[in-house]
Amino acid sequence: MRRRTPWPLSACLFAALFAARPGAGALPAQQRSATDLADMRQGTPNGSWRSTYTAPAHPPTLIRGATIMTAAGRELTGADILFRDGRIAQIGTGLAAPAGATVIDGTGRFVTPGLIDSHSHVGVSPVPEVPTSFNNNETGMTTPQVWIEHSIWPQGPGFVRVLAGGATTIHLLPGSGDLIEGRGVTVKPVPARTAQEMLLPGAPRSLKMACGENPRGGSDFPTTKMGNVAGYRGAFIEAAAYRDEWDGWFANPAGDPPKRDLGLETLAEVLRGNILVQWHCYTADEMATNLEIAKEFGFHVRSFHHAVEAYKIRDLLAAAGTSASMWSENWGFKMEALDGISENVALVSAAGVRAIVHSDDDMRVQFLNHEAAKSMWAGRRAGLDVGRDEALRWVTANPAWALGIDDRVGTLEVGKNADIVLWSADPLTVYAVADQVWIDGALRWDRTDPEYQRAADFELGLVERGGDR
Amino acid sequence: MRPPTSRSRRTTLPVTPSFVAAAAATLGLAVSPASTHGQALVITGGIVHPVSGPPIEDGLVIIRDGRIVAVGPAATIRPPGDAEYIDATGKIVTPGLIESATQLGLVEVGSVPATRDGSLNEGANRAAFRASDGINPRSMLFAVARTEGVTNAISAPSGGVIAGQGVALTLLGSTRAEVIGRDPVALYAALGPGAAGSAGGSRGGVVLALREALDEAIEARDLRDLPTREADAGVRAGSDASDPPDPPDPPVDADVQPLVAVLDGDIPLVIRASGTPDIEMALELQEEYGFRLVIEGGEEAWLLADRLAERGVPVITRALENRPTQFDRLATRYEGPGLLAAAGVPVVLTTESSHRAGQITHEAGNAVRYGMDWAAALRAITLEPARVFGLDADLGSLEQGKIANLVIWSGDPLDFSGYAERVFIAGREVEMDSRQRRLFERYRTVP
Repeated sequence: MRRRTPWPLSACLFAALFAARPGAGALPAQQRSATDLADMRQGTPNGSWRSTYTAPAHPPTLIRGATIMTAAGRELTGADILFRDGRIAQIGTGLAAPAGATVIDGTGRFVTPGLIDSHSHVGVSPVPEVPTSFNNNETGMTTPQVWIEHSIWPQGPGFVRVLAGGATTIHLLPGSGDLIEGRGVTVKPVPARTAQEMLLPGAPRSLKMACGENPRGGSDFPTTKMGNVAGYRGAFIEAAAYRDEWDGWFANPAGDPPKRDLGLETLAEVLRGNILVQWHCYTADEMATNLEIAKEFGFHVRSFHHAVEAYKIRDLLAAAGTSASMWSENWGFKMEALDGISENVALVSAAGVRAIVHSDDDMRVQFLNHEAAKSMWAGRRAGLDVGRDEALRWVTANPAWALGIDDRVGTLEVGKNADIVLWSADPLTVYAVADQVWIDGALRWDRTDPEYQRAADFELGLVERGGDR
Repeated sequence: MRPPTSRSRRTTLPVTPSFVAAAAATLGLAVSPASTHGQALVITGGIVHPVSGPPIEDGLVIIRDGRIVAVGPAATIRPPGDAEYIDATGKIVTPGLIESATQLGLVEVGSVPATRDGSLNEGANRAAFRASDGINPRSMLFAVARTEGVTNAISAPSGGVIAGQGVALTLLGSTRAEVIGRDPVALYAALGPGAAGSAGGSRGGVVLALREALDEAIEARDLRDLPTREADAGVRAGSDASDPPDPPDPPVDADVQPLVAVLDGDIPLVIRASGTPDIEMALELQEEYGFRLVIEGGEEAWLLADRLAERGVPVITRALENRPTQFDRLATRYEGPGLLAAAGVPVVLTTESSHRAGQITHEAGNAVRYGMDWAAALRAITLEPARVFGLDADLGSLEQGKIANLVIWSGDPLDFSGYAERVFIAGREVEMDSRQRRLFERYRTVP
């Protein structure tokens, strides 16, 4: 098999003629470490597809006298937060500044965790909207073999806008034209030259699936809801056989491993629980149907996305332990969105489901705090008792859980990654702007300092802007 | 032949006691029995934002027979004895909001073609196409919009170089006559790459098509005015007054007539343009042909703020957009509306959405977040659109004599904490009911 590499042709020839280096698949069993085997299982052998993200060096930072909204049950007024070495070190009052610390007066301002978007296409379906840039939707009935991280344009002008809006973690997903769309990936919206430089190290990848009108919208199978279901079931029957074959080999990794299949490799990881299912689905009946598919094949649906009718089956979602990633308001653009109501998020949240306000949009991702506030007030208007911490969790802790990264981001708690936003005012009002944003303790956005407002390559020299973005 | 001006000069909504009675009879669910004919309704205790003047703490608004009778500080006005009172203490009172760039009444479900009537999909010049001909007064979108405080809207066609004629709507009623206001309220055209598809594929082709249409309209106008001018000339020359009678009006193409109305100044020409070259082109055309120009879209208008201000050209634009989505709007920024307003340009804010018309308050709030004055932002969704479309005799502010379209908000209407608690259209209180509300009520509890 010809390997496609970026090496010059001569180097390829050299490797082919003289190295005769066996691929990972042909290594003797005793040479395979547990890491090697895990990499093979995940489809990232030989240390490939790793994150090369690093946080720039930064001094300890102490914000004093702010309102600190932890998204972990507490809102502290006149409080301090200290972060150092990329982690949150202390939250309290009267904290002492360590030597060399940057000290910021937070009086009158608000601190939250960096916001998290569970559903984004920034940089994969980027602006400017030109056909050659649309790289988030492959075509076919199922395309589990594609990975959205291979479509990222790090220079997409959307990323710096995400950062300016206070979001520090976004989950990039492929589109919804196929039943099984491919792998999603979690990235940091930081200046980067390569996709690898943006990947959140160690974050689990996801599988994007799609039900409803989009995957059955073409002329080929499936063209019906029942066709959709048959498509998923057929794929997971194959995946289960593939997983069994490979797991048999992993149990005793002697001799040649089974033949790799790029798509089934991803589905097998879903069945093992290592890849989290993010399922685009609007209607109540189809979400319920999809929970049955998950039951049949023994996997867990981590989040239904868009979920405009989640309020109708919130009890089922609660029982399944499945979160719902929803818009604050959005309805009527197609039949399956006709029953969208502005109380959706609040109703779902009140039922004990991990409610998430997501964007699926390069604009909404810039003001996830607004979107959460809208849903909070829509709930309150309807008589639901929605708390501020609860509303903040819709765009922080809950999406962190849906992405499998809640052990490190999503709340302000000692030991968590220092992804922090300092807001000019209450972020649950329309008027707040992100004054400063830190990721892993490093300052990445400063509203008053052009050095931290790095435009994408594309925008250089095109627009004299000045001031806020 | 002049375009039919009797309709175009019609008031936005015929508010008469008989209309109110008819509305009460036909709207059933949509209105409550408050404010019966003749009885005054007095809103007290709130902070009243007339928009036409400074806010009034402890303000008073008196409504009778669908019109505003008085607005002012409570201390200075004596309400009539037979009035019904509404206590708005702790609330904010504003005019009903006007959403200026919608297809309300022309769309129900975006993806269902049979419910989309906003575009005539052929040709570059579709000036004869009237949005009003497709308006569905029972649109399910109206109730959603009005319960969020939007009482009026402009619904306009899209597509082509000249898209057609827009209509002013009142978002309450069950017959076409009840919801259709001034018609046509404006003619719509577009410049730039978005319109190039129907004009040969280039910006210049779009301009060419627009010029051709305007030139034809000049010819038609001149032909129409010719007998009058000759007669005037004859009188001046002292010739015999018993000259032959005026010849019959020449026929005018249906796609030309609306452009004659534009040249006559009866209706504005709204030109959709995003980039500075296209906005500059619109200004050049205005100078050349002389018409009431309004820019819609206007993502890069802030770069031409001084010129637009000097010419008094209004801009209808969004405040929740800052991306270089197309090559003709690379300079789109959140601060655009604030910069335009600061330069003296009349700014109208819009969602450019029909289903989400109520999000116009979010647009306005975001404009304030990025530098626009709060009062200017409120004005940009009330009085400014009323003025731009010539509806300000009836709409846009809380002033004596205007139609009583107003909203009582729970708090700051430009923030999320402020939502429409009570809405009045032509003095009638709107039932806070919609298909969306009923879905909520049905699923308020689940098993």
